[in-house]
Amino acid sequence: MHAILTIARAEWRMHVRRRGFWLLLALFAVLVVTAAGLNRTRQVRERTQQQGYQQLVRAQWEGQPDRHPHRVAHYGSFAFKPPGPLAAYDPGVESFSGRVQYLEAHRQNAANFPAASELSSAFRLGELSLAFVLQTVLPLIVIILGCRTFVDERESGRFRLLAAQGIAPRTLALGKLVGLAAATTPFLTLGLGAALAVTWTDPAFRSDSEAATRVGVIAAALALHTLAWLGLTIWISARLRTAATACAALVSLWLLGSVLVPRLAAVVAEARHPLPDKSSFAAAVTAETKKQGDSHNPNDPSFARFRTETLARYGVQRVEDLPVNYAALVMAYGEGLSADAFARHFAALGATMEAQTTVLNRAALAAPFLAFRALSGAAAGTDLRAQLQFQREAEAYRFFFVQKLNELHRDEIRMENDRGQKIPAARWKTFADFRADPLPVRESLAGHSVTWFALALWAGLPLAALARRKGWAA
Amino acid sequence: MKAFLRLCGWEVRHLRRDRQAWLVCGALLAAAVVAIWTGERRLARNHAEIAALPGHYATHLEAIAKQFTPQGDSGYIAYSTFFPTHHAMTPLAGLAVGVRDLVPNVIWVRLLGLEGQLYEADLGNPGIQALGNFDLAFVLCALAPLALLVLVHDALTRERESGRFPLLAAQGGSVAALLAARIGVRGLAVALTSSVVFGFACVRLNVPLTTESLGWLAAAWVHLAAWAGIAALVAVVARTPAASLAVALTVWVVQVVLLPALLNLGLATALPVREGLELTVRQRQEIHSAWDKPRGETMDKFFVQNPDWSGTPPVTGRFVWKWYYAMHQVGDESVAAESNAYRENLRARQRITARLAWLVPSAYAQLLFSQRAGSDLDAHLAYLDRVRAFHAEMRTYFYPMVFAERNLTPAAYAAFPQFRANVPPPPAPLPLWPLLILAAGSAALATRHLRGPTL
Repeated sequence: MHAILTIARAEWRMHVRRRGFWLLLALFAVLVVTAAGLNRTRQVRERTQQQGYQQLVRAQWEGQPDRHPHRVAHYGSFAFKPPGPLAAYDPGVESFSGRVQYLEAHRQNAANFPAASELSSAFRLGELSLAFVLQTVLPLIVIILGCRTFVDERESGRFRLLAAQGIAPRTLALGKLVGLAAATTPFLTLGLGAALAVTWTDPAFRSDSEAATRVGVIAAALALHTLAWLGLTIWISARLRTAATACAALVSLWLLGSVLVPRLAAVVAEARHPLPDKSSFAAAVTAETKKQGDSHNPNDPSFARFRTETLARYGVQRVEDLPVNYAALVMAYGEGLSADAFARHFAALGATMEAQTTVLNRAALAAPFLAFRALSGAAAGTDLRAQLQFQREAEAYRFFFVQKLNELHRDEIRMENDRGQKIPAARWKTFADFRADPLPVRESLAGHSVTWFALALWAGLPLAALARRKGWAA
Repeated sequence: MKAFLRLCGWEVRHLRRDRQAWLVCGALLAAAVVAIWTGERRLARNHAEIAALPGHYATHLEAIAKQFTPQGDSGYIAYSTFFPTHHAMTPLAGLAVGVRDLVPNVIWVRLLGLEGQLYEADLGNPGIQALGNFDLAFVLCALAPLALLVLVHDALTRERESGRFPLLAAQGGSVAALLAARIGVRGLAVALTSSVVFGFACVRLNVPLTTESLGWLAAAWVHLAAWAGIAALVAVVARTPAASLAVALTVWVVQVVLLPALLNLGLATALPVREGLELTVRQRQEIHSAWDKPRGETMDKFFVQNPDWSGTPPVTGRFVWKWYYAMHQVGDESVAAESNAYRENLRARQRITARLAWLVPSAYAQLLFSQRAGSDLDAHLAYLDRVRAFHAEMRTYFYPMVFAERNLTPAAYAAFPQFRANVPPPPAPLPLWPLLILAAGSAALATRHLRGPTL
């Protein structure tokens, strides 16, 4: 143990005495500060804008004059997607999903204006977020700092000298690991500090009851991921003959893990679980809805059975004798059926997307970056699941207010001269406002055992290899 | 000159025996094959989506015919009918997907206000989209430069390590010649690999021989030339093979990973585009508030922009279709300024990216590729303009019927306007010369560096 610490101290001293180390640290600091500043500006602005519009839409809703309830159902509302609680640290997939959804009767509109489709095609190797820096750039720093550390010992002949002094190779390796970890700490602190700074100053983060859990999960994933690269760097440096080959091997591994495997996994995921195109999806939903008839037409034959049942329930013979507005009953019934059909198809769509994500998560076994990315996005509330949750919430809100309007229509609008009547404006205030609550962390992280396993494996295997007693060539 | 050619001959012989070079070019080839395969799939998907449209449209019309038999109000029929528009991918777009996986290839529009119908996201998995495409443009922009750097970074450091460098330097001028020959020959190897790959892709994806496809090839070569210049700089600044490799990889990461990402983030932060959401909210308010106003007020607003209809009888009663469409068109017209500003801002972003990318050859090449493939943001905006024109055509077609309150039988549906995909010629292509200047500039810097005290 003592020997390990001595070697670690020597390794640390060697790093901090190099001018290159401080240059690298300075460059990294510039990168971190730039990423932090730009992301914070962008996310705070985005959140303010989204909340501003949501409030405006609410004011417009409450400011409606006396209207017929079905008129209001077509006026509709909007759901604005605010950035996730840790979006300033990890924007996840948010730039790629729509930011606003128009909610109206009878129709489930797709979300509009994904931010990424408003940028040029300068290519997507990841957005420059702090999460990206910690996931992609930090491993490179570890590689640059450490790829030659063991090879140097061999080349300079010190390795034999140490061996002669009775220092086992694995003691040397573990000492170097600790030393390299210490040298990486300033970088890690800088990145994590910036991440905390940008999120802590975000009111949405402070008002989030699970903020500490989110940070904890990200910190754990970060620790495992960094440990994986520390271990790999020392292990490969100890295995290969020259600094150039060690460096080349590690960078190849990095390239595979953070650029090639993820993209290839995406190709495989899309090939194995193809999504329907939008027209086919819409056609399938319409076909199912159409089968149920036209809810705007109370005489539609498809609704005959519903009429018989309704008349029986109220114990009357004719629609005109009903104590409530029959047209509204049919409308509500039809809305329920179409929302049901949509929900089924949307669930299937979401399941296909989740299946694609599962392929990516499995590929994490070959690329720890994917595991870290998945866990980070889940904890930050900015992954696919959070987007799907938003769309489900928006649809639930749409269904809520449309059905509530149908109830008003049923109870307060007489069937005779239906369209000529109105509901007093004071009613609009009684509708609850739309709220986009982040998904609880527990649900975000459900089913992520394979990603944790992949990270643990990548962190554990190099360590196990280094800690072995045998198998070291002199 | 003769000596230089002899040097090149040596380099070619040397390259042929270099196992690493074969490996690197082979890996590039393999990546390209995967990229072409994904491009093929994406094209097939796009074409299948568009080919299915007439079927979807026919089913849709059938349902409408059922609803409006024996005949129906033209206003109500137009309200119920969605018309498909499409944006087919060119074969080259299979090689440079650009933004085509983010924006819809198909938009269904109806006679209502258009602005609310144009900006829906496509049905994609954002988690997949965020990872980026494995298309040929990615291979050529990101991986080919890496291959080049791996092959030439030690052009001089290898000589330094073996101790031959002082000897070479003493012969005056020949170091530069050696460097040029080495980078030239190896760069040519990468360029030829890229060209072979492109040729294969052209055959596989039926890319026609046009100025665009030739421009693509030229862009690939010029892009590699810029990187050859950068590689020369890398080769002269480092002293040992390990150091030159480290410098090369750092340059690659900064140029290919960090700067493009910084460019995107910086632009998104510095040039926010707010008009999209603004016009969405405004347009709805504008349209629906018309329900609470006297009908004549909306009609008068409509007549200001559309004087041809001002002779029609005034609207009486609670609901008339012509008033309904007037209200929607007035809604569109009221956000015309935002809509123009939205598009103008997006185009400005494109222009500024292209300008800033002069110093980031991979990002610039990506723009060159996607522009020539018709897969960049400008091409999508042009598609939206075609949808706009089609929507105007729909208004011209339906308004006479709606204003005359004519009834339509299903037989009349066959004459409904149809979207025609007459893609206009692309705008003036982005020039190649910025990359050539970059190539020449870095080569000149490298030569100057060699002339200095480099021993």
